[in-house]
Amino acid sequence: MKKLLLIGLVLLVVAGFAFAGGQGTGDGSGEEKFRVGVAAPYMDPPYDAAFWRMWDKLVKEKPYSDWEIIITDAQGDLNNQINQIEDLARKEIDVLLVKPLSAAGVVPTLNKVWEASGKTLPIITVNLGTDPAQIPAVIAHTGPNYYLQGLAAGEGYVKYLDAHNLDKVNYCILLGRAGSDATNLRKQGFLDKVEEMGASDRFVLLDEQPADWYTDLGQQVAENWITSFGDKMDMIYAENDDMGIGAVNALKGAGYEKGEVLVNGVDAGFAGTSLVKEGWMTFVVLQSPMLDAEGALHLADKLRNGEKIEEFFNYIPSPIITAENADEWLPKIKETWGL
Amino acid sequence: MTGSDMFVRGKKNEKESQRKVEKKLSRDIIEQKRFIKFLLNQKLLILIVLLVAAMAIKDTNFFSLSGVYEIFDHIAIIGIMAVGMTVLLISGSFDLSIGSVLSLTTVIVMLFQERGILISIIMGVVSGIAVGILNGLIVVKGKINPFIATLGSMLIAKGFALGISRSQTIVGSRAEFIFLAHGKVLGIPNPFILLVIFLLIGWYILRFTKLGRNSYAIGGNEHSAILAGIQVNRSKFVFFVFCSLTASISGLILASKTNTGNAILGDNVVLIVIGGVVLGGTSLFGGRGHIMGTIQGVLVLGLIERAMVVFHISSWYQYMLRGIVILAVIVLDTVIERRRREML
Repeated sequence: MKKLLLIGLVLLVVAGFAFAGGQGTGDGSGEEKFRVGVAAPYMDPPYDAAFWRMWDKLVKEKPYSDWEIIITDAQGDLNNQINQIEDLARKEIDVLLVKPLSAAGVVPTLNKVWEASGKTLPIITVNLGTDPAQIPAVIAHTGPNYYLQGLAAGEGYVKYLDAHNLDKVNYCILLGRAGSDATNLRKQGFLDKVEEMGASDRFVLLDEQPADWYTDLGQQVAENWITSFGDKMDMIYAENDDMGIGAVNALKGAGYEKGEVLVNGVDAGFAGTSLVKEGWMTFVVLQSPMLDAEGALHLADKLRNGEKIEEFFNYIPSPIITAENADEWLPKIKETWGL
Repeated sequence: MTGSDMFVRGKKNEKESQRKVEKKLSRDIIEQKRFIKFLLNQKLLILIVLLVAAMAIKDTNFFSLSGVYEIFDHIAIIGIMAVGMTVLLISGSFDLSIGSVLSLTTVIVMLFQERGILISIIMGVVSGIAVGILNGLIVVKGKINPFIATLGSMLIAKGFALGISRSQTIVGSRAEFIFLAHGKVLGIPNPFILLVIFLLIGWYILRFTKLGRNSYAIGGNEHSAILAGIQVNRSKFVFFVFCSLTASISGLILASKTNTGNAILGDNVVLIVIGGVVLGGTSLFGGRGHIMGTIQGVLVLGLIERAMVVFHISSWYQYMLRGIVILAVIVLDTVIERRRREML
């Protein structure tokens, strides 16, 4: 009896709030602060950690420091991210920045919140776009282009082979997190560019394994390859800096000299770029966390000023850094990674 | 007194004491159920009301009917899995593979979508049940510890999902399928309806069926349950299949919500599901638990997530908060279990 009364009371209270609060009068905080909701997929992988470091630095300056920024962290779980997107959209935010955990997976939810807002909520995708690429719910995209990075890597290797008169290489691929779009696009870009340059038969694939973007896993996988393939392996295409660094560690540990096995990185962090300078890495492709974060904030600022965003795709440049220009890039690298 | 007389007398005494044990067992179970219900119903309900009130005051956008529907829509996936896990945990077993079953279901549903929505749903559910059968067989026939057994099946299911999906995200091709999760009946989101259905199923099983009573008995004291003539093996097998079935249904919902299938979607769910179930009063050691508690536990976890957005809690603190809640839950559960053992 007591329990039923208690449940009844709870239901009454909840119903009371439900019907009382229905008008969506919002926060009642009074001031007209520019509110930005940001749905982040995760924050711990090295690139993301750098991104958020740069972000924190950038938002301390005006005009961003006057904004109210709400960031959610889905911790790598898509179900969390779509719930968080709905939660953010429910608050009275002026723009929603989304870094999708899955390009296709967030689409139904973005459509849903856009419709629910009466098609008025501006949504911008950051760092990773949606699949399909240009949906009505999203007004712009900013970030690196993973496919272009793959293309750059392909070109980088073909050019190196040509420059050093190497006819054929047996290679392995260190893949990023399985199922991630960056993983798939960087690989596809590489293969497509190699084919476009007519060099498909010069690259013989021995193996490909995921190392989830991490250095230690990259090292483990590379060590296994050294054991299995030995001198047969000439090159390791690493889909990011950290895994490339892991591969270099493995090679060093096995007594290889620099340049015996070609390795690269993608991201161009300080460690990776230094390895290019030393000669352990052939090249790195830059993905600047600072430009990435800045790109997103810049677009949001345009909206705040009432400006129109002309281009849908706002890619940040991904230049290639080789031994030739490593020296001039190093100081810029430090700045761009917030080191 | 002949030897055979003594033998018969001894048998009679054995039967009597067996009956006494059964009576005490069921009395204990009922007492525990009432006691736990009373204790935990209070705490969680109060916590829920506090969270709801706090959020409503802070931002009235969150307190509309659609807002209430939305929170249940959000917790549906975890909630349905929590029902299956509750029944299994009460019986003293454990299932680590639910995340992989969820992922596998999303992959299979998407792969079969071209052949028809009904077929894809059936195949998805069948794959989940298959893992449940595997778990049941390994634990019951193989007599392997559920933790190890389901750790194995978790890896096998995930590996299989990665293989058939080639580690890619599989995007759906049928717009109609999205209605499963995004559709509404009388304004109520479908996932919410499915959640209520499964809550009722779980509640009914535990409260009114022999299977449900068996679960408490097995979890309370498996040896006594065997002595009492309960079909322990058959029951355990069914619980594993049921648990995987709920994971599969949740997989259907997630696949529909995201219109994708991917082998890594379920990676993080086990901890949240178990956290919610234990928070709701089900013991990790078996023998006690209740569906009403489970839904409250899952609701509390869901409300905390929501509150972090409403109250604008910095993402760094979010991690700590979740960890603290889960840790507190497990500590509380261990303490209660210790007290219970002392009472006996």
